[in-house]
Amino acid sequence: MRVLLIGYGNPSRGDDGVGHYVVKEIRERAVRNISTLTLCQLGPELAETVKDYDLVVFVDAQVSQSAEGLSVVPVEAAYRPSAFTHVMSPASLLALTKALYQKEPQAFIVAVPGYDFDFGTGLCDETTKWAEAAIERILEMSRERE
Amino acid sequence: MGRKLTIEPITRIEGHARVTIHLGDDGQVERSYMHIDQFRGFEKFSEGRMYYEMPVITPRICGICPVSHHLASVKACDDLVGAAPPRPASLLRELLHMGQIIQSHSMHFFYLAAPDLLLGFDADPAIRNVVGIIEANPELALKAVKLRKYGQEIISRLSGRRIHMHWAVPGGVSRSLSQENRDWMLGQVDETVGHIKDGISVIKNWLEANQDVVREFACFSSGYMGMVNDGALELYEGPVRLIDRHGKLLEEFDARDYLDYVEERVEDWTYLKFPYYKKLGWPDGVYRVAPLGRLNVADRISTPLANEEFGKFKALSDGPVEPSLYYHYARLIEDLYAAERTRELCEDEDILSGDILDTRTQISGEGVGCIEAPRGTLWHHYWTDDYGVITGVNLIVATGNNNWAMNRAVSLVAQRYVDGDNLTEGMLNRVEAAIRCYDPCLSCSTHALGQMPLILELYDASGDLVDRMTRS
Repeated sequence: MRVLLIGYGNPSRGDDGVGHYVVKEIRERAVRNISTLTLCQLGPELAETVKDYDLVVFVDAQVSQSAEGLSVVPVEAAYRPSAFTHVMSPASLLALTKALYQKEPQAFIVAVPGYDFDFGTGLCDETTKWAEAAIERILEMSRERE
Repeated sequence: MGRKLTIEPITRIEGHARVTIHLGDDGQVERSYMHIDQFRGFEKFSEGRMYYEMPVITPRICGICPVSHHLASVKACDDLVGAAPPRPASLLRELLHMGQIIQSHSMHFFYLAAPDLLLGFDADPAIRNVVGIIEANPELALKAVKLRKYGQEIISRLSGRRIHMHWAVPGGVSRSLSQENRDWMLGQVDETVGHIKDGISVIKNWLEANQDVVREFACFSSGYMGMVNDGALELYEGPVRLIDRHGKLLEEFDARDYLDYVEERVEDWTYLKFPYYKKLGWPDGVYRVAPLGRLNVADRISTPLANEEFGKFKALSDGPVEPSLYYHYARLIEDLYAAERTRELCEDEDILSGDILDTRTQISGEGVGCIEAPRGTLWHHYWTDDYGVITGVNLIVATGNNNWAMNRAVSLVAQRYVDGDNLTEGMLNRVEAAIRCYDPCLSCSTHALGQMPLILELYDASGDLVDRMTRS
């Protein structure tokens, strides 16, 4: 099974860079069936890449104040007009992929709690802890599908 | 009793805007405003930073046009330290800019403008989007993805990142272009040109078939402004030309002298300022920028296919082409130019050179950089102390230059299409579409964080809220 891991967010805004952190850690472990991408945001051109994978895992920071722990949720293709037109939600990206290429990879969003989104690089201790849990969960998902 | 309608925020534009439409006692539109309610303060919080940080800081203004800010900023730094980039570095910077133009213009037409044009202003909003376009014309949609990807790849292969790059530096660029990447870019050009030409056919067919709409939809006169190079369309380096509403040349000035020609008006109902031609004053000196402005001021285009299309564009009118909907056509002509220019740049014998940096650093205390961003003329102006610490910043951002024009467009379209007693979604979409002609980037123009749901509010003459609609 071909797995694509997309970590996205703004690494210059503290915990918003957790997607980049998770991808970097998994890259260093050189897992055979996981391809990786780090991005600041999702754009429509990604549809051409996403279509070639069986499983796509999106990793992003969870901004909500009520965020409790790691959230791993399946994401279905569903287009919603984006408020920010230059960015897309994972669901919209999958909908675009489905409409354009008739491909609908299985997909999950791994949402890691973030607490500090001020200017600066690096994660706070709490987010780093949840990032490690995210890494383990993603590796587990990959192993389950080998 | 008069009422006020508010559309907030406008969808399928970059950033956050709110439109209020004021209705009179008879239910007809009296006046309309596009408000920009966000403020970020880049000009202020950059003070105290070193000048060479600016090409890294200012692209954070926006996730859609970071390349434009990166390049305008680094050009200001070149000027500030007296380091003229070697020719190969200027070519590489321009190539990065062409990647930006291709991805931005293509994205706008196929994803943001096309749903209104191909599916109809009154189409169900649930399908009036890019997925609706895919269902209506899947081949066109696939081409759009390829165009966007091509532009993004140029940016990524040159600078190492799709957005927020750390590549251009004062005096040049930090990394040369590999032959492998040059060959990749060249290898994709013919297909890219073909896709853009297909897009041009689509917009031309639509415009020809909808001339009645074109002539009554935000069609108005104004001055026009844009960069030229020996009279030809120019997007990277050259003097700025201003023409009046009849097409008569007003000025052609060194971009560094912009403060002699451009002044900004402030209104208390929006954070976005209103630039205008200083010598004619406000409001006589109002002008438009971006694709329609640039093609109206240019005498020709330096690349053959775009110039051929430019001839057809110029033939549309004896003077400047005025209808706002022609922005879409002009945008794709520029897109074609950018693809052809990409080929020229990639075939230039200097493009693979390693001579990419002038390391002179003689801090003069002031530097101005100007570039034609996808959305119009963009100025970065920095002042420093003797050590290069920023003491002042002035940004005149592309979208800001079209602020008056967008307000005028909103006003005209609201007056023509909005009936306060029989409000429909299609009416409101037309108002948004008038703004979308200008492809505004409001994050840039107010230097904005924020979400962008759409809210329409209806107020009576006494200011009481009568009705409210929201989209997100």
